[in-house]
Amino acid sequence: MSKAIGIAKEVLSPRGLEWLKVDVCNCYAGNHNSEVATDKLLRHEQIKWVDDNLSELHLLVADAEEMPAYRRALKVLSDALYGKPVAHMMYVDASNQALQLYAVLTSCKATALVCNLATRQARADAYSMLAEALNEVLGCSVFNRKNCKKALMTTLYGSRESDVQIMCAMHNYEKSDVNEIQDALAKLALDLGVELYPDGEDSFLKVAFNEAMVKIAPNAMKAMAQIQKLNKLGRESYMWAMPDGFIVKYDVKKDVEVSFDFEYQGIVESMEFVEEDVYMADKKSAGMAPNIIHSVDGWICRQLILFIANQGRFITTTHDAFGVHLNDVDMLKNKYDDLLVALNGSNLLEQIIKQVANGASSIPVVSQEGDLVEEDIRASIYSLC
Amino acid sequence: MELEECKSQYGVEMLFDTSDKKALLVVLLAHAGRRVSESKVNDIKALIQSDDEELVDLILIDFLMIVGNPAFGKVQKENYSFLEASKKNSKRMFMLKDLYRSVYGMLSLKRIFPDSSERLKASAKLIKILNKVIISIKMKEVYDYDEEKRTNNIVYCWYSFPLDMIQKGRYEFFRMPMIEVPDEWGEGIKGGYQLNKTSIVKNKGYKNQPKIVCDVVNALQSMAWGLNHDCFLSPEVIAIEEYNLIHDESQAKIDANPDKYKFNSAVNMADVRTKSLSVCKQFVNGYDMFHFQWNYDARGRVYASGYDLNPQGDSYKKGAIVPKVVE
Repeated sequence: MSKAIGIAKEVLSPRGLEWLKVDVCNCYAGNHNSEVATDKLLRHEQIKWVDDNLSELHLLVADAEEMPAYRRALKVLSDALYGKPVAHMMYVDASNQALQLYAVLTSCKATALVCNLATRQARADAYSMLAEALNEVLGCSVFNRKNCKKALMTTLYGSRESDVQIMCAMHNYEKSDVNEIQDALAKLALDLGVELYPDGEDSFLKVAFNEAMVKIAPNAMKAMAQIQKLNKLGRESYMWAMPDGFIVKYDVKKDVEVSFDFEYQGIVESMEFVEEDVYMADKKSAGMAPNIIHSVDGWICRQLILFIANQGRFITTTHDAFGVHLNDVDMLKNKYDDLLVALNGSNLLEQIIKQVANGASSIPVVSQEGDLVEEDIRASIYSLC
Repeated sequence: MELEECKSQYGVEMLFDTSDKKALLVVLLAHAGRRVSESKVNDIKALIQSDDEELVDLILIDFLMIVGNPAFGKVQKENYSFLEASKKNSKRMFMLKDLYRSVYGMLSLKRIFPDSSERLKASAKLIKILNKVIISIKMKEVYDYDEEKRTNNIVYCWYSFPLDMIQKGRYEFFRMPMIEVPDEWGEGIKGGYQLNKTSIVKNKGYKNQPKIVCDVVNALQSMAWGLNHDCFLSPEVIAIEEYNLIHDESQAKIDANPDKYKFNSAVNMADVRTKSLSVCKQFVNGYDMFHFQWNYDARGRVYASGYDLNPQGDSYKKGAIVPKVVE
C-alpha cells in the first residue's frame, strides 16, 4: 500500500512568498464589486497590490471570488510575513491550455502569443485579442472580452455555434431562445450593413469569427480543421497510444431522438428523449479535435503528477489547474515548460493522426514547421498563472 | 453498526455494501411492507420473455432503488412522496427516464432491451405492472410558468427506506472520501475502494493500462487531505457561508438552464446539498486524514471520486478541504 503524502510546513522562500501574494490576488479576483481585476494584473502589480493593501485585505473577504480560499490565503500570509513556516497549497492555471497545446503541436508563434507562451514578461488575454480581431474584420466596435469569451472556449472544444454563443452573451439569451437569437443576429447584420448569410449556410458572424480566429491563432485553426477531417462516417471507435503508454479509446457518440406514444389511464401521451448512448460517427461529429487535445493535456497532467509526487511532494489537479506547495510552484512551472518544449520539437500530433487514420488512404497533414522556439516558451512567465 | 463506530475503511464499506443483490431485494421488499404478487412477477417474466428469477430480482431492485430514490438521501417518512422529497422526481416521466437508463448500473433492462426504443416501452410497461403495488401514480392539473394548464403525473411511493438503506444508495452514487490510502491500481488490478470496485478508465475507455499510467492515479490517491478548519470563523458561520455559496451556485445553474431545473428552486437544492455535505464532513471529521479514489476518462484525464467533498468540485467542495499538514 502507498504511503500517505501530506503537505509540508515550511518557511517560504522569497519566491514562495511572491507566489503567495499572487494566490491572494487570484483568489480575490475582484470581479464582483471592485474595479481591480487582481487576477489579471501583471506579476509585479499583483505583488504591489498585496503590499499596498496589506492592512485592508481582510475587509475584502465578502467580495472575493473564491471566498474560502481567499480567507485561508490571508491567514497564511499573516504567518508567512512573520517568517513562520506555512503549509499552503496554491492552484496555478494553464493560460488557455487548448491554444497552448495547438501552439506547441504546430510550433506556431502567433498562436503562442495569444496564450502566454511567447509573450515573455507581457500578459496576453486571448478573449480581448479575439474581440479586437473580430471588430477589425467587421469594421465595428461591438465585440469585447465578455461577449467573445464563451465562443472562443467552446470553439476550441469543437463547437460550431460561435455566432449563437456571442449573441447569447451580448443579449443574455439562452441557447434555446432560437427566435430571439436569430432576430438579434439579423438586426446586427442590418446595423453593420452586411449580408446575414453571405455564403448561404453560415451567418456573417460565424464567418467573421472564423476569420478572426485564423488571424490570432492561424496554425491552431488550420490544425483543428485538419484533425476534424479524421472523423469517418460510420466508424464507431478510435484508438491511439500516448507516449507514456496510455491507450485512448473513444466511441463516437451521436444524439438520436427516441419517441413513442404511451397509453396511461386512457390518455395517450407522447414522450420524447434525446438518447446519447448510440454510437456512430456522422458528418457533423465534432469530437475528434477536442479528444486529441484532451489526450495531450491528460499526458501533460500525468507527467507533472509523477514528477512532483516522486519527490514526495503534494500535488493535486483539476485538468489544467495544478495545486502544489507555494515553495514548489517554480519547480512545477519549470517542468511544465520542459513538457511544452518537448512537444514543440516533437511529431506527436503526426503520430496520433496516423494512428487515428489507421491506414486510411488519405491522411490529413498538419504543418509542424513553425517559428515558435524554446526560448519563447521558457521566457514566458504567464503560461501558468 | 453506526458510521462513526467504523475503525477501518473495510468496515465503512461493509456498512454500505450493496453487492449482495438478493439480500438487498429482501430488505427492500420488507420495507415496502408488501410483496410483489406472483401474478405481477409473471407479468414481468412475460415482459422480459424469460423465466430467469434472478433477472426478475435485478429488475425489481432497479425499480425499487429508483422509485425509493435512496441515493438522494431523503429521511425516513411515512407515505413517502416524490413531491415532498424532490420536485424533480415528481413526474412519472423522470422515473421512466431513470428506469429506461437503469441508473443503478446493474444494466438489467439495458441488457434485455439493447434497443433504446424497445427499452423505453418496456420501462413504461414495468411501471404499469407495478403500479398500485408499491407506487401510486396520480394525475394532477398544474400550471406552467406561462400559465398554460397541463396534466402532470405525480408519483407517490407507498413505502420508505430506513436510514442505512439511504446511506447504501448514497454511497453508490456519491462516494465518500476514504479513511485509508486507497488500494493501488495495477495492470489488470482494480484499485481504489476495497469493495464496490470500478475500472481504472471510466465508461467505454480502454481498461488495460500500463503500470506507469496506474502509478499516476496511485500517486494522487496517496495524497492526504483534511477538513478546512477555518481559523477565522466558527463552524456555524462556515455552515451559513457554505449554504449561501451553494445557494448562489444552484441559482446560477438554474439561470443557465431553466428548462432542466424547472422543478427545482435554489433553496431546495441548497437544503439538500448542505445536508449531505454536513453528513460527509461529520464522517471524515472523525479521522486524522482522508483520501480520494482517482481514475481516468477515456482520453486520460484524471478524476477524483466523491460528490460532496472533492478536490475538483465547486468552490464550496474545494474550499471545505485542504491538504493534510505534516510537520
